[in-house]
This record gives sequence, C-alpha cells and structure tokens, in this order.
Amino acid sequence: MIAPVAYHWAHCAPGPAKIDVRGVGTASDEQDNLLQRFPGIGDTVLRTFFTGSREAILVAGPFGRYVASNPAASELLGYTAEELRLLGPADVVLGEPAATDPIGIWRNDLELRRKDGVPVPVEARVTALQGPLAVLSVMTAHDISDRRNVERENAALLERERAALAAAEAASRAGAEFLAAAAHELKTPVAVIKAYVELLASQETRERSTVEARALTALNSQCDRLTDLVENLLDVLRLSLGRLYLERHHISLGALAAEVVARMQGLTTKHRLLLDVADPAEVDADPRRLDQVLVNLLGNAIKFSPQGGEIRVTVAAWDGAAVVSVEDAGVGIPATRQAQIFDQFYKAHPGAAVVYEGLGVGLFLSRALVQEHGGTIWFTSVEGEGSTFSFSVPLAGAEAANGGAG
Amino acid sequence: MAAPDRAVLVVEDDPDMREVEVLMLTGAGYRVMQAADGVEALEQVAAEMPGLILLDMRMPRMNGWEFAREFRSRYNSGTPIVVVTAAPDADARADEIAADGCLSKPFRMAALLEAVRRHLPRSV
Repeated sequence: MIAPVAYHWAHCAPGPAKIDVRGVGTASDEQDNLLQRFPGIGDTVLRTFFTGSREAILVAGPFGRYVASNPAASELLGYTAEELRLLGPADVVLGEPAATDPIGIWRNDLELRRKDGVPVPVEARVTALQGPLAVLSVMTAHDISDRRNVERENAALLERERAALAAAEAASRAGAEFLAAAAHELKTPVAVIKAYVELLASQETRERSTVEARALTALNSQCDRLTDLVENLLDVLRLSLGRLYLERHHISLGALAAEVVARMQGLTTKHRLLLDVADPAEVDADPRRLDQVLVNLLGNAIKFSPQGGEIRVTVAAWDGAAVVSVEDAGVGIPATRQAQIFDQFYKAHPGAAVVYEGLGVGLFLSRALVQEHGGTIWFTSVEGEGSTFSFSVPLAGAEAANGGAG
Repeated sequence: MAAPDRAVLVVEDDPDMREVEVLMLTGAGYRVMQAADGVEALEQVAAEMPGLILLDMRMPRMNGWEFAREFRSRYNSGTPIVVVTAAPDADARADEIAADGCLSKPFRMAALLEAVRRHLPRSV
C-alpha cells in the first residue's frame, strides 16, 4: 500500500539528473517572480498542464505501479485513472522492460498495450524524479500510429517503384536483344539468297537463257528491296525502343549529296537529277543516316513524278546550318493530306499506282534522323505542280552554339 | 592469278551462308578453311594459321566477340580479321574487337572478294 504523499511538481529537465522536488523548480527569473508573488500558482500551472496536456503522462512509483496519470494517458490506453493506479509499466509497456530504458531520451520504437489488448506505437520519453521517499519514473508519450502508417506506405511505394524500375530495365534489355536477334534472323536468309544469285550470275560457263538472265537480275534486285524494307522496319523498331543512335563523322554534305544523286540517277532514265552545291556544308553527322534521308527524299521525288522530268537538289549554308532541298515537278500532295505527312505509316497517296509501295515510314524515319542531328525538316507542295522537301543540319561547330540535340 | 599460300578461314554458323562464302572464295582461287562457331574456329587455327579470318559475330557456343578475345590472347600472329555482320553499324562491330575490316550482310560477291583481296597478306 502506498501512503499518499504530497509530491511537489518539479521542472523535468532532459538528461538523467535526479531532481530535488522539495523546492519548486523554475525556468526563469520571471517565473521565479510570479511564483513568489503567487505561491501555489506554480502548482496550479503545472496541474493544469498535467491534466490538459495531450501528451499522455504516466508516473510509475517504486513498487511498479502508476501513482499518477493524466486524462491523455487514459485516452491513449483506454483505462480510467483508477484502473491505471492498479497497473504499472510491466502491464502496459511492450518491448524492453522499463527498468532498463535509458532515461531522458526520446524513443520511437515502444508500444503500449491498450485496455482492449491492441498495441499502440508511441514516441515516448522517460525521466526520473527523486521524490522524498523514492525515485519516480515519469513517461510522456504520444501516439504515432499515423506516422507508422505513412512510413509503411512509403516503404511499400518505394518497393513498388523499385520493382517497376527493375521490370522496365529488364524489358529494355530484352528489347535490345530482340533487335539484334531480329536483324540477324531477317537478314541472313536474304544474304544467302543474294549470295547464291550473285554466284550464279558470275558463272560464265554456258549460254544463259533469257529467262535465266532476267531471273537472276530480278532475284538480285528483289533481295536489295527486301533488305531495304527490313532495315526500315528495324529502324522503326529501334526508334520506338529509343535505340536509334548516330555515328558522327566530320563530312561534307555537298559531297554526300553528290554521291547519292549519282547513285539515284542510275535508277531512272525518265528523270534528270540536277545538283547545285552552293557551299560544301561541313557537318558533324552520321553519313549513313543522312544518306538514308537523301535517298528517301530523292526516292519520293522520283516515285511521285511518274511523268519524269527534272528533280533539283540544292545544298547551301545558311544561318549556321546546312540546308538541303529536293524539288520535283510531280503530282504534289493534296492540301488535306499535308498535315500528317511525317506521321508513321502515313501514305499521302494510298492506293496510287506507284512502283515499290514501301512501308510508309520513309518520311517518319527521315524526320527522326534529322531531328536526332539537331536539325529540322519541312516541305512545300501544291497538288498537281510538285513538292519541295528540305532539311537542315547544324554546321560543324555551330551545333554547340545553337544548343542542338546531341 | 596464282593462289596465295595462306588460307582464308570462314567462320559462320548458318550452313548455307558458310557454303556460299566457301564457293565464292574457292571459285576465285583461294584456299579455304571453315568453322561453324568460335570453338571450331579455334580448333582450325590450332591446326593451321590462316592468312585471314572472315568472322560472323552472332554464333552459338562461342560468338565472334569471345573468339576474337581468345584468339588474340593465345596467338600473337597478327592475322587480320574481317567482321561479317547483319548489324547496320558494321564499323562499330568491327571497332568492338579492333578488327581490320567489316562486311555487311547481305553483301555483293564483289564486296566479299574485294575485302579478301585487300586484307589477305601476300605470301612472302
């Protein structure tokens, strides 16, 4: 049985100090003054704080039972003040025994058992009070269930994001592997066919019939056509996987244009390909890819001027960029179909009687390639009169200044 | 033209592709060795050092990259290697193994013969 003893409330300082409660502890001179003028007010203030505080306060006595508790403690634990006087830390504090708790520091890993048996996570601090007869242990605590929930949710969210990132990386690797495998698997049979066709064509041992001669020529050119289609398809796939890379070299766009024009002229007798190189136009670019763009533009110009005629290619330097234009006097593009001309799989003249239909990705790829170089591509066209397609690439040395894309 | 003494080693896993390369080369007067993957290629090289290696990159068991690494660490023969690849950036593939040249599949016969003519050392 604990004899009722008057405890004088004292200021609880942080740290393990034992505090003499026989006097009234004060924090400042002003407080001193106030207490001298109104003895007993300290008591009232502290009692008001004790009962009104939202922090649960539990004072454990030397016999392991709570000698005092505040309304917040009752609310936290679900016990009345009377019920709490029959209990002690051993009944309420889960985890390490209170006796070994370090005094005076905040702990956020304690749980207290409520009356209904449910454990509630708390952040708590324990301080020792030296009373006239014994040491008291004062615990202040507040519920951190909300904080715990947020921490749990954050951890789960982080875990989900990690898993998603890992999955995305795996998919990306799978995509890259698929690309390499697809290129190999699609092109090897074509390579075999073409190689045998060339081998046959190279044999001059006997007279070849007209059919055989035409067959060999057709087989060879169809192999080249198939190779182009496969490469286009692979490029579209590379683009969609973000794996279309440039291998830049310092080249002359004028010289490249001359090569392409000469090559393309060999494909048509109906058209006259004219080249006007005003400037050599030195650029840091991928020659294979710009060759691809030029072939696409010239190929379109030839394809869509079925009556033949002139196709003009001009190369000039202008305002820090090399500009190439391909102008034809062909069928042009209807105004209603111009807005989507660079879209994937879009055909301006669907169903038109053109040789070598293609996949409809030439301009889509050309735009991607030009933009990858930090340039732009545009066109003007009048139906029935012809089209002019142009693209620009920053001149070598000018790209950094223009902040062009790498 | 007298056939050079050194042989050309064709390393290619696709049997039809390998066969047509062999036919093209023998038809042009070269002596040809062949292997279906890196492991066989190392066996061939151990039996006789070729004058030039035409190397496919994607092969089972031991691919072109692994073969090049093994070959160079075991032999210091300076044998030129020409990469034969379906990848679009053939030069990049060649650079990866410091090859002496590259050939893109599908290739013209003239391109294959030109690559061999250029890289196969003349016998002394």
